[in-house]
Amino acid sequence: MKCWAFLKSDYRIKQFVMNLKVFSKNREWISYNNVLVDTGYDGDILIPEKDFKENGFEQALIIETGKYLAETVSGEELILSSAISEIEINENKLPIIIETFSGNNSFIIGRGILIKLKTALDGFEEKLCLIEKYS
Amino acid sequence: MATIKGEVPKELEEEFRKIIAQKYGLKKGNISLALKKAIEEWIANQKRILALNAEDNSEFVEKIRKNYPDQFVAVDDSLNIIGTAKTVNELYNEIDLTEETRIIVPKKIFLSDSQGKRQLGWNLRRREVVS
Repeated sequence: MKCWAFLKSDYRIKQFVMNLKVFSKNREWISYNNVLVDTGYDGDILIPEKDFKENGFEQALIIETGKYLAETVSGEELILSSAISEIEINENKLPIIIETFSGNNSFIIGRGILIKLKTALDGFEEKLCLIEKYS
Repeated sequence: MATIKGEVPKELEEEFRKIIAQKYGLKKGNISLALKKAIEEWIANQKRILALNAEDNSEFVEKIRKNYPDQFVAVDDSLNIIGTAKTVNELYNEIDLTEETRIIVPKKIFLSDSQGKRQLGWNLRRREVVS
């Protein structure tokens, strides 16, 4: 069972994170560590606009791109760019939709990924664990 | 020139004025200038959203998904099929994808709701009130 320790910071309560690799359009596996898991985001993965462009995802856009709006907690609507990619989390490879919007600097894992995996949040041990492989 | 009258929350007005002062200084006419820019940006954004909503190719997409189950189908800007692939790796390697091409992915990968909106999070941060 693979586990990742909660991320501690001075200004936020402990956050649960995962390490993962993203398969870029340039056909390279890019590693990202301590990616925040946000159950409030109902997509798969949101990445910074800069990473989206640098990794060639503008050439892997899905047909729904631009048709989906991201709605923030304050009700602001942002147009999303959505591309197809693949991620690897502890030897689990799964196809996913990678998204961004103009000016985005956040990198988060959303519920779209969580529903494809079996995970456990262990508050006592301060870790997030991957229980079963993706099949 | 026209005059627009409306009400906004006090905090919003204060922040608006504060940023205008920081960015342009406390010169006469700067509030109108910032207001004009804000309205222009809002109009451009809404136009983009309305244009996107007007384009509906969902019937075509469903037909493709039915005819090519569990496959990635790449189409050009006229919705002609330019290639199919069984994996992301195959798609990236064997099909000439550009910024104009679009990919139809199997339904199980693109999980969508009917509202056309993604929820971006409950990323609320607690902050101490500064009086």
